[in-house]
Amino acid sequence: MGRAIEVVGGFATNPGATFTALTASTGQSFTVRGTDQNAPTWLMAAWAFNATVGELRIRSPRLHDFFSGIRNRVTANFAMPVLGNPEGDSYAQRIYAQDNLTVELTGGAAELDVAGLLIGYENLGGIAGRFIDIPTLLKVGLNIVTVEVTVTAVATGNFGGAVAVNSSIDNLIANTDYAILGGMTDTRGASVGVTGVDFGNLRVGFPCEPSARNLTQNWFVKLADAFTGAWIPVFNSANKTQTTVDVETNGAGGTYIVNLTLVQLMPNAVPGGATGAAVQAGGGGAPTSAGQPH
Amino acid sequence: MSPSAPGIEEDFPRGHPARGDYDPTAPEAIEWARRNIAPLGERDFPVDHPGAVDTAGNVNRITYQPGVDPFNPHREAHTGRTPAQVEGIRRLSETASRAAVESPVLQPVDAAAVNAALDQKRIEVRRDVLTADEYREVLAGFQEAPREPAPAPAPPPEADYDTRALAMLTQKGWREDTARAYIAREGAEKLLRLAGVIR
Repeated sequence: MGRAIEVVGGFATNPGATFTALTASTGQSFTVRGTDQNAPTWLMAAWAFNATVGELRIRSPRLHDFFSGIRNRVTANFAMPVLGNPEGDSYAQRIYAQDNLTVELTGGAAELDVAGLLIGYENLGGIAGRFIDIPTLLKVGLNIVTVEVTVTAVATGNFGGAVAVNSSIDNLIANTDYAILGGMTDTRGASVGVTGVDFGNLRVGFPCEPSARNLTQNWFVKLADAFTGAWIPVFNSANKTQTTVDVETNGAGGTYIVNLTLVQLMPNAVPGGATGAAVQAGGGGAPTSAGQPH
Repeated sequence: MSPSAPGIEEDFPRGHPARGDYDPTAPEAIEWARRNIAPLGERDFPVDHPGAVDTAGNVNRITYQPGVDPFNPHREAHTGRTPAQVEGIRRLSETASRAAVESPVLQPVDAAAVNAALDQKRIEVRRDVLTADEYREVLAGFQEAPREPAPAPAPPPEADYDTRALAMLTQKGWREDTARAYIAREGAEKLLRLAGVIR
């Protein structure tokens, strides 16, 4: 089962009042990846970061209509989801393999406006990440730990400034799985991305909105809850140097301090990870029981 | 208003409008009115109560915006930095952003397969944390190998074409019965192709 989540970012340069198709971030595309048609793909959320108020429009002939489709007002300087807010129950739009989504923004006439789409694949051919659902998290979760990194974003509208999760504080236990519950940023941008082989080398992520910490710090848990499934990404600390955090923002660039909220998991509870075969098998003395307060 | 003599019981306190010697301009009358008349309606706290917003020194009337120090509104929200600090950090950040590099584009992979290969490498080098070169070496093997093709998309059922053609025509202002007759005559797939909705 090739489950994956991908944040696809894009930007429009000086869109003004004209709907302007977004240029996808380097290496990304608004064409839905080729998937098994029998396993749905979902547009889980969408958000935008405009310095000036505008509109975010997502259209496709395969969706409701190609006239206006999903069109929402984007308030200035507030990178909150305008579609599919995973706070509580929500509803995801089903999207289709190889469909080229038309994603457009209006905004300021002298600025770079940015948007992000969160796409969830239930079975992506040849690509697979490691994800767990909430019951599994509750069953195998051990301790909360946070990692803090400093990302210097680029000013081109693309994702940039990738740094390893252990670049600032290297406190993860060797050969141990960690679930990412979500994260927080201290500065407003469009999207925070986390990339690594454990996510199939696709970028999982959340809105880069510092004033909605209650939402973003628990983002993936809320996704798993709202969309009822395994949408909480898991990575192994053996891959920490290659698991990176980056940010997409507007033409101002900026320096972002990002906190990721992780939960240490019991050893070998999530398939597909590093087995800890080399040196410190079993997660460096991690406890073997887990649970949540009842 | 005559002063009260000691030991004499008065009918109303000084300044009260019911007193026979009531003088609305007298300081006592003004003070009484200040304390007892609420022109805006019922008060939550009596006059001069520490909880009343019009009591001197009370800060309840101040609006607290998220992240803003109301006593230092010139400072940056959420950080408390002075404008000079903000400007300095903005300049530094701008310089750093110009020097920052875009994130590398990675080949999507199957995490389980790559992790198994990485484990083999870890056993080989007898280290858990591989170097960037060792990662590249392992991943290169995957990127050179042909990927499994994605399953071919199944053609949508005919009923789906009918529904979409009907939706397309009704959105263009066709009446539903006319649209249905037109679809039955021409075929939904043909109409959708002509409209460029499907290829």
